[in-house]
Amino acid sequence: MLFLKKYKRYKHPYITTSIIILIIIAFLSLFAPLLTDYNPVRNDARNRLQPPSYQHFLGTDQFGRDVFTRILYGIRTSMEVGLAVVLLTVIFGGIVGVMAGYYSQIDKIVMRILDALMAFPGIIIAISLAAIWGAGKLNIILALSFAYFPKMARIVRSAVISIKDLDYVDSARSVGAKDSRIIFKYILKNSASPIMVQATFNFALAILDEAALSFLGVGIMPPAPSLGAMVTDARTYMVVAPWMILAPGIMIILAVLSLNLLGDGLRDLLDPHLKNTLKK
Amino acid sequence: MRRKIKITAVVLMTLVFSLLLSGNVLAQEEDHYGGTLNAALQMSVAHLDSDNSTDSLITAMMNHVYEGLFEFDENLNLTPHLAESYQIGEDGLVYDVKLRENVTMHNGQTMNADDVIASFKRWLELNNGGQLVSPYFDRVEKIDQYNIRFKFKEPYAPFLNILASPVSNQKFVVRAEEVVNEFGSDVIDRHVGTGPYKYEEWVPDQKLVLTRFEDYSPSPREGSFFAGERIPYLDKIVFNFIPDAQVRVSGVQTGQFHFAEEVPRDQYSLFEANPNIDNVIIYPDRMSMLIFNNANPPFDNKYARQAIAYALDFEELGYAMIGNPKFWRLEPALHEEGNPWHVPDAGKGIYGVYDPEKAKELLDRAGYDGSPIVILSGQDNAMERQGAIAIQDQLEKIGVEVELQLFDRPTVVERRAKKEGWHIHLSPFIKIVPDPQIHQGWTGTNKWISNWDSEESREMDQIFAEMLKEVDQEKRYKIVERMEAKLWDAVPYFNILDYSRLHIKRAELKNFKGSWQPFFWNTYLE
Amino acid sequence: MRNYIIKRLLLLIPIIFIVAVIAFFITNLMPGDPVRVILGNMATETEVARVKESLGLDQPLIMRFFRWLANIIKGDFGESLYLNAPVAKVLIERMRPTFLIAILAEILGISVGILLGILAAVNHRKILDQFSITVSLLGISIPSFWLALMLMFVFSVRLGWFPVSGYEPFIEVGFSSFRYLILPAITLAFMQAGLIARMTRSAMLDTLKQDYIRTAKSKGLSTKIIVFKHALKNSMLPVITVIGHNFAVLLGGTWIVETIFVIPGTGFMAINAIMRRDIPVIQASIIFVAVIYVILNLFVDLSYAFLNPKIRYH
Repeated sequence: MLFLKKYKRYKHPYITTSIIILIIIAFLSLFAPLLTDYNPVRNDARNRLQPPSYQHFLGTDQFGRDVFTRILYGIRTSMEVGLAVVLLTVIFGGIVGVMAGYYSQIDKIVMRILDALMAFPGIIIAISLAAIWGAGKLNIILALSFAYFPKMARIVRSAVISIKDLDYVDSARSVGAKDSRIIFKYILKNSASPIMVQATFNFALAILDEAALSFLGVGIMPPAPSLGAMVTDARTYMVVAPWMILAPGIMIILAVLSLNLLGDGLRDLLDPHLKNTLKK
Repeated sequence: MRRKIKITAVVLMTLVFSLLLSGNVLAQEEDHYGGTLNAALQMSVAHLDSDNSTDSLITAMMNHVYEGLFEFDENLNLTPHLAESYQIGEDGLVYDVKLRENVTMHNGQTMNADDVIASFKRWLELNNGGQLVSPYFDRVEKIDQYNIRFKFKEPYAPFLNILASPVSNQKFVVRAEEVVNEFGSDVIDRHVGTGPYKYEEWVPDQKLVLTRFEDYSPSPREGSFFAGERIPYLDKIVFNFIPDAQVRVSGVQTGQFHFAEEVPRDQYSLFEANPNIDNVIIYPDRMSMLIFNNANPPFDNKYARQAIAYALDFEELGYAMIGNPKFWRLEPALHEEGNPWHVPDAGKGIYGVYDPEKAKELLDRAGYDGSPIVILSGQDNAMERQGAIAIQDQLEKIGVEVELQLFDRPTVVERRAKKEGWHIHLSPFIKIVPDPQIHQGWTGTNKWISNWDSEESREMDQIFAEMLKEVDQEKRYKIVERMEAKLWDAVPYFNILDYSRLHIKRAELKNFKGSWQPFFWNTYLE
Repeated sequence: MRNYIIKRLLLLIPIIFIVAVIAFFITNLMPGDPVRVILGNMATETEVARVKESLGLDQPLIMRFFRWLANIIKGDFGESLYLNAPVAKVLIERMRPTFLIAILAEILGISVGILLGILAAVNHRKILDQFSITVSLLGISIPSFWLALMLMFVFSVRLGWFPVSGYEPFIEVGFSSFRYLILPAITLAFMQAGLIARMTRSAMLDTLKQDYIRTAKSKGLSTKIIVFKHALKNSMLPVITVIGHNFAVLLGGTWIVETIFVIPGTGFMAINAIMRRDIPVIQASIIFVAVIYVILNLFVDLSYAFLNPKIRYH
């Protein structure tokens, strides 16, 4: 792969740092059951709001649940949501973007609809959709994907437009290659860089927005652990149990920070011209 | 007459004392007047018309503006308020009420029978307290300017208690006739009552401002909670709607607010240590009700419902739902200890008996097929949210699969109104219920949301029908005992525990009485 | 140029129309019945039916849509179910604190962001650059709701420097009104500063590589003059784009921050409206945000024309 080759050559420090942090986070979330003796949803209310101790590294919450355990499972939820959103965004954004970019007949209509969708800040679409569909992991994933895909579609579209009239594509067309073959073989392969960069930033954004939605009570359905919902819960106990609010916040920051760092690194590495493209 | 002597005595004593204390006691009495009170309330309201809502907060705030014919005092004794006296006909079908004369309303006119009758007709039609009464009610007659006769088709024992009911919005209050005529069944937004404060300004979602009514005509009776004399010491009362608990707390800490409703109970000891802040705990305050959807399996079978009572560790629920044990206590009966209708041995043998084995047995007996139980509850109320999570946890521990559905209020209210799609719902009920009949509103065949429709529910209807007619207190109590026994046998819903919210107030707010609904007459700022 | 503006303005019409259609159907498809919220917890079915009829909510959806659309064109967004006033009036009232916060945050964000960006670019690959990169990365990585709570906890609850929350309008209390806005503005400014610093840094780095800067350097001009007189001006184009695009996002971001600090702006109003299904208010809020967004984008594009005469519009 292009990326690996380039990485081997440059050894970009952002990427190294962020990948190390991300591997740690992935390890924590994948092996959560092995790293803790507690169950993230089982209550022990008689031991509620215990300060950090040897038994509970990060104390307990208002149900007596181990905060450390909930953070491990919470970041797991964040990663799941982030990955799924990225996947869906790339698929839908990719399809719409390629269609609009390749077939100029539908470009105008598609672009107007995308413009309208982008006129809502993503979080507002997500809040509205989550309120309609109700809380739950799947609904959050759908809502966030819906909110992010227009941006992805636009990026793919401009990549497609810049490539589709290049000589080698033209020559492929002139020898009678089918549209589908041209799209897959030439166009997608060559627009991979901007998609990858945008996907990384979307990953970070999805983690932030999932937390925000859960914070507002329209995200992950309790008692499933979500970092955002943990902050909401902690709000009431901020004065008497500050450990409840610090830990999930720091975990979110760590994950988002490393993803943003990775995005920056990828952008530098893959396509220096992309620097001026916006994150959102 | 006796009262006059008493007042004279008090005045004399006061004079003597004031002389002794170099005459500044009386001056201090005067000093109580003045100041603006800022109260921080949790929820805001959709409007201020108590007949057009079931929101108890409307009544709580508008108690300062409107008064009832009857009001409850500190010991839950029914006391005539805008009424001067009343008489019940021997057959229990006729209530003659004499009104107090010379009560000035906020529009400057004197309250008379026409105001009361217009307000009463509206209450009977719109208010759900009125809807409890109306099937048995015949008509209201004006005898003269200050005398009214209420006539029933059948004897209706709880009538006066419901008129003064502190439950949600049920209380009957007197509005000016012109306003009632102007608005009809629409939401009233011009408020003309008789209370010690008058409506000044309402900024939705932000604040309600009330100012002292200078021509207020206080009741001649001694002030006690809602009954008797209400002295408007404060110039102005501002109810601020502050949804965030920490914000309410900090407002009181900094002196921005003098009173804050529903603050985090876990900060109790912090407030205790603060000399500027007083804790206000109210017992009895609320009960946490677990409501079954009696329409669908498994809870169309009473054994399954009983099983849930055995399956739950109520004490653990207390910690999870409410927290600090200072704020909750186990109580199976619908009426609290000290209430004349309290049944001490309600739920004996089932309430508070934690027996998972028996629960499983009962579930088997009910033919429970292991399909998931849906708990539907609100996100916005901490008791509901935390209770639902804790109940899910406990049921899962004994191997019952549970699906939790926590939604915002509108969705919850809509979903639970349906027959399908949910099994268990949690809801806080106001504990102070002056009359057992009020429970009829949600107990019995297809009442409220319980979808209870069986042999048992019809027996319960029968019990309430008997209770309605029985005017003899002792015999009526026997019926209440039967009602509690039936309730704990059939368990269409049950009380998990009683709990109190924690309110706080500034120390400079004096003579504040913690009641089931906060009120600010007779209190003053130092 | 004039034709371009007219063309862009005409293009707004279909966009706003699509937004309006989505706004109407999203809000009407939400589960939860506003009437039941108005009536409270214990309402009976007959009460619900009565109020529904009085609000006209018993009519078919499609009829309501066209009536609504016709009214909106006249500027009438209907009557709020809770706020006891026409939505348009409430919206205008509530815009004040929202705009104040957004502008305050934008000013803070721009000044800190540009400063950080310049420092980083001038000291490329030195410690100040690393510092600036870290701060700006944190800016875009810290969840605003968490930051808001932290600031509130430290500066209001613990230190008591600011009121914990709430808002008093400028007309009533004068400059102490800003005491309520500082923490919310800082919360939002943090992310803005991060975004702007990143953009300024990379734009400056690009500019500093240009030939004319090298020429200036070789002429012996001081770094300060080069940076502020020449490089900054020419790096502003992408920075302005970020600022323009993000001002709209910022107005969306106030939703959460206003809710936390209990500031009666458009965001607080919108979240409240969603939570209790005040449908006319939700619809108006969505359209409001969308209109702001498209108009700001138009301004951004137009400002390109002024700042960069090389761009021509057809």
